[in-house]
Amino acid sequence: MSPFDGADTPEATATAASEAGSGAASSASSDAARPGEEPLLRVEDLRVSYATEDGTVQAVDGISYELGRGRTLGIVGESGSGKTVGALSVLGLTRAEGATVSGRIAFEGRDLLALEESELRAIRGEEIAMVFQDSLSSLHPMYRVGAQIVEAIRAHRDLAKAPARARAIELLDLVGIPEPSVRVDSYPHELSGGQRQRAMIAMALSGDPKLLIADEPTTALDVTVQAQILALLSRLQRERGMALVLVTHDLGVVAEMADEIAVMYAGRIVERAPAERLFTVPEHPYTWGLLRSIPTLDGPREELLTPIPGSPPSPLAPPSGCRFHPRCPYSEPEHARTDPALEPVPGQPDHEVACLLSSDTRRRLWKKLA
Amino acid sequence: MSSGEALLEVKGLVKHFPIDRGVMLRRNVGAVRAVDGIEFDVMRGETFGIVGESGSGKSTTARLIARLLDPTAGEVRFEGRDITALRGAGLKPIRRELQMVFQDPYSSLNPRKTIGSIVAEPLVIHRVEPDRSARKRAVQELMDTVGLNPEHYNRYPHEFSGGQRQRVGIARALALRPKLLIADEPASALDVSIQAQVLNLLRDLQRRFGLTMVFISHDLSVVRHMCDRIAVMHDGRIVEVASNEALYDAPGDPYTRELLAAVPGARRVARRTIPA
Amino acid sequence: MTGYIVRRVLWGVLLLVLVSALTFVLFRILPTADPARLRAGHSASPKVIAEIRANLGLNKPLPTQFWLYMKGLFLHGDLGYSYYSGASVKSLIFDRLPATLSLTVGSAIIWMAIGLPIGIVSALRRRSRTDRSAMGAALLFISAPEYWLGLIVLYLFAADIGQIKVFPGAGSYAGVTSDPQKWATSLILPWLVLAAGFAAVYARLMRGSLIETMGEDYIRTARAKGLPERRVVLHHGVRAAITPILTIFALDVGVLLGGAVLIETVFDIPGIGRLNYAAITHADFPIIQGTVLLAALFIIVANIVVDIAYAYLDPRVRYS
Repeated sequence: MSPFDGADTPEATATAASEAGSGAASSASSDAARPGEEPLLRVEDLRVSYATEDGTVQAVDGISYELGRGRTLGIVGESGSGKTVGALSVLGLTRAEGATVSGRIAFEGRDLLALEESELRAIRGEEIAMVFQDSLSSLHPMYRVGAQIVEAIRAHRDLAKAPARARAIELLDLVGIPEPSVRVDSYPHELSGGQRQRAMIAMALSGDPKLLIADEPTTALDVTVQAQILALLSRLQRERGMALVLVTHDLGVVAEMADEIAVMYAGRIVERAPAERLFTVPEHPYTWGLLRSIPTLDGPREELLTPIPGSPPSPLAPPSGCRFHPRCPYSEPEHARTDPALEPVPGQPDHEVACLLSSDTRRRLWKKLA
Repeated sequence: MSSGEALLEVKGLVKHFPIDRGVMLRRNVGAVRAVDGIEFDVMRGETFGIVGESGSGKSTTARLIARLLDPTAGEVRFEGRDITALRGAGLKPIRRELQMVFQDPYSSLNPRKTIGSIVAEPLVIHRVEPDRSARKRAVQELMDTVGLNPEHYNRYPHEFSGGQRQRVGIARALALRPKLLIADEPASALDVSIQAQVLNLLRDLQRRFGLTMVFISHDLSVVRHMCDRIAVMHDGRIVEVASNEALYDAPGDPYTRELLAAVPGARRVARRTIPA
Repeated sequence: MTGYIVRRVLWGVLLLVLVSALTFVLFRILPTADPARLRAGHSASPKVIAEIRANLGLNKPLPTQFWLYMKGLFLHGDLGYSYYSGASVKSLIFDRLPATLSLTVGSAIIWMAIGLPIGIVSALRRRSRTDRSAMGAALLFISAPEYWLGLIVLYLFAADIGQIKVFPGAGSYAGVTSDPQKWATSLILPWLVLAAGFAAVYARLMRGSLIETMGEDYIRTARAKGLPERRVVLHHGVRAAITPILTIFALDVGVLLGGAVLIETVFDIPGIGRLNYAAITHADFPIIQGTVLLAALFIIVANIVVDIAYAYLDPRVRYS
């Protein structure tokens, strides 16, 4: 899936709602899925806040995005951007942490936020699966890898131990772990970082999910291993028609993998665009700042990088008005008062930006910078 | 960039961590060969990069050069002097010339000390500026140099962000005006937008103080930006040493090429380096 | 692993030798009553006392006494004879061991059965009223001295002196083989009193350990797999949280097997603790020697068991 296809977003293909087997969505209890039109995942005005000793933290402050079947969305942001919390709330994993969640997360037309915990459990690991950053801490240290995969399998299917174990070995083989019938009995700490991450992916795939959410899946890995894992994810996507939400801070990773990229800052999406456009004609000053502050392998070797001044704001005290204005080289005084909404760029409905500067001004500025 | 004179010479450097087995009398059965015979020189005034993946031995090499570890074999020469065999008190004068900045800004600063006293500590230990108020002024000047507010002299590390803490670490390393600065992944634990600030700061300081720098990282893009010459490490050995241009435009070693090709979004580089 | 076990056992034996040497020296050097004089009773003539001394072998030089003792212990398993009663120390100890064992094992089962579930519930309902009252009660029971609690309980419930005559009073212990019913009923109060303090400690330990475990990443993964919350808590959370607790448990049991002096005294149970206490008042060195050695043995074994068990419980721990 080359991000530089430049193709339009394909229409979501109609798929039988009962494809995933047990615990699948029942249309009766929510909006009926309109085949051919409804994206696989539609997030509307998602807000997540935590009550802490220091005050209320608004980790995610109204984000909206869509993801079509089989497509890849990259969510890019730094610490405090809310990208991880946003990803966790899709599966309702923030509930356990006492978070207040509002908005709508429509998966195949069903609002996940309106579901009971038991209904949500049927979806977790089965239709939507998640892979985390630190595979060593995300796998239980005292159980063998195979046992943990078997547990995932048997949580959703009525399989006896032996066939479940055989399936686990199959999955380990699928993700490219050598000697899967031996490795199935390894403990997590006995595997290398790359193998562990593959095992986590195998576990996530056990329910044949339609959507995989990966939170920084390669950050802790060496660059050669990282490349292998990304290639694996691409291959699995192609083979299974699986959609992927890739949350990361690494722009290189999303350049490689994503069809569409959403840039998050201080709990909001500040820009959302097809991958090719984000790297060639970005619209938001934060995106410009990111692109210009990262050293690259190609392109001229800069004398000095152009960092974004200041630091990301604390979620406890976000700046007033445009959240980026204190660090934006182009901000005007009134930007501290008005909150920009995420709006499409003129003539480009797929490209949205939340910025108070006029589109012409931005175009001019970017031309000068690029 | 460099003046042609070698500030640091490393020859045949080896570091093995022994593995012992046995019931009552422990027998050595083998060793982890973290650094397995490496050789390189660092010229005065240049930024020398050491790049490699985890387990390559680059961090161990950094510690060996800084003499925080004793080598198993080999030689480290600083300004022509052999510092390999020095221990304890003998190393103290070297410490003034050779300083290190560490990767993790959250664990490399003592949480119980104010940042003023953290930065002042090298001055105290080496008895530079015995007068307290002169010392305070020197520390505040350092803080200003690295971009920190000198008024925050009495604050504690937890009151600062990661990027600021890293600046404290850099200020501390510069307190004694060392000749050689070893930076072990100084920006890896920081947010992307802060990394650039810290990297720029290092370059700026290098120019201002005439520092020679050894820069260790796993990130090939960062190393490309920062370093004049680069050594690529793999499995405890150096597989290639080349100038910046040579390494990225025409990498010689297959492992180097593999590394470059693996950087996400970097496929274009690989195509250019496959020989016609 | 076998190498590790062998090494620990060898060190354990060495430690036992050291402990017995230390006890031996301490009791003979530190000012203490003269056992010969105590044995002789009041108004005994110096000649009689001297004779008793010679009989007991106390007039020999210290090193000789020690050497004879060690030889007897390691070659013949002979722990000597009581200065006071002349009975074989070994038989005295074996006589008293069942009572201490009964007391320890019974209360261990009770305190784990009470403490752990309370700790788990507290951890899951952190800062709720249940949690606060449970931890408050725990604090109370940890602070209450055992003997005080024992006396209160006897005052309230003992059949002979209590307000509500439910359980047999102090001194009604019977061996499990001779009268099982009396054995059980006479131990209920001592079990509860001994368990009270420990249950409180273990509830707090479990609470702390589980709170920490439930914050780990693998709990999040377990939920993301769609597992029922009960399984997440028990199979993933408690399983990881219980490892440090089991190791402390083994050590606590090891110490208790050396004799719970206070409980045995208050409830008049003929265990090792009581034996030891009586021996101290009579300066009866051989018995003291024997009980200390026994206690040390239990603790050393418990330590070794704990370390080995930890390697089984937590696969990340491996001993070379």
